[in-house]
Amino acid sequence: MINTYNFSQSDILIEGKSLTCHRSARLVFTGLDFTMKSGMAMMVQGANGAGKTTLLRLIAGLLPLSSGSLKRPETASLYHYLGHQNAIKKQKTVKENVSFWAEFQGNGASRISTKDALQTAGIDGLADIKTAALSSGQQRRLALTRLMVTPRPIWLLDEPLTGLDDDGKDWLTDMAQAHLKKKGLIIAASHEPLAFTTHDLKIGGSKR
Amino acid sequence: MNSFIALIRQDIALAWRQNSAGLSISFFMMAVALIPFGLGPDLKLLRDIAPGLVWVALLLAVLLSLESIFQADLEDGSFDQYLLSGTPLEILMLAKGLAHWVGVVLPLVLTAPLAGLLLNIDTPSLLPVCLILLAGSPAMSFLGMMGSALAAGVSRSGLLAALMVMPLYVPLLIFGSSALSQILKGAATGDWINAVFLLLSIGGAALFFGPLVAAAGLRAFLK
Repeated sequence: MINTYNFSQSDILIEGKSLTCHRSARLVFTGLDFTMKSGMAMMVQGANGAGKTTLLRLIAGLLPLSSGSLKRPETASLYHYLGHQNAIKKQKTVKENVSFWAEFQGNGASRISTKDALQTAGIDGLADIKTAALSSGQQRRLALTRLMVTPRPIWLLDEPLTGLDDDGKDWLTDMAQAHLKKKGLIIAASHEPLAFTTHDLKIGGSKR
Repeated sequence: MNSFIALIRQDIALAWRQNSAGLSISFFMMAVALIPFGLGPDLKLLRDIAPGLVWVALLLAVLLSLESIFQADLEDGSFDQYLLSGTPLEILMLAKGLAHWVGVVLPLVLTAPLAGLLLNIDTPSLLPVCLILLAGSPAMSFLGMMGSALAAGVSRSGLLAALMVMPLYVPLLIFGSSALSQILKGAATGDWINAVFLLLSIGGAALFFGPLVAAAGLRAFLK
């Protein structure tokens, strides 16, 4: 049971109605509506400061909502959040970082071995290198490896393409499409077009 | 449970690689070694002030290491992952406190009696001295993590954390150094053993409240 990777048994619904969010007295966005179900991928677009990151953090439960209603699964461990920061420990090697996540997030029940995960990510040659020595693109690949190592149905990706080369983008697209096929759900904020998204959500940046 | 153990192991490994304990130990040794230069070669005076001196230097050395408990996690995004781990944040904070205790404070406390030699503490007293310091050590980590969490996110948080934690360390200092004085005066075990229990009970209370306060403080910071 642990190794199965199919979320269809319990369909997931994330629904926001007239969402409003303030960050330190500044109105970030207001009147945001969307509905997301298992198997859907939404791309959040908007100018700098429009509140893309804020929206992702709201959905992840990392930020409180000012007003509006947000229906979301409450269980924190259903969410993968890939932020601007990669949550990588510089003093540790690539391999050690991955096995920490497998143990920390997945309770050791990873469906993929550390070695295989790194191979798919194209950084298996760097397994024993301290992550401080990696390029920013390689670090991003390492952070994205987390999505593979611990299966979680909801992916919240903040600018996932940052630093990735064409190869890396293809890898992410393949991974995302496989995730959607398994009834996963993806919400990604990006300025660059994403090949795997099916829906768009535009956040108006007019009210700064 | 796996998250708890994984986090303890990660933090101890990181403390080891950053040589946090080594830095604190060096600071402590330097501080203690400098005192005789300032006070002159009066052996009796050194012996008299040794208990307070050892405790103050030890607590300052621990304060130095407090910033490292949370700062890196907040900066590199690990903290978001903690919140989404599915394990209550309080439990994870307990793990971080324990890792700080094992990775930084314990090595410091175990080497501290060596400094006693510099202060003319006789060798038979070293073991009881070590026992007293050991009894106070859990409180150092868990009181310290409260301040560290409340100061987190502020620039130069280490300094602010130190300011907040210092008053909390006062009871440790009072009970700890009075017990040390007793030991150095050659008092019987019965005269100072109560201090051991007292220090341990402060540690117990801190073990309970430290993670709660730290979790609440960090949650408030993120919102």
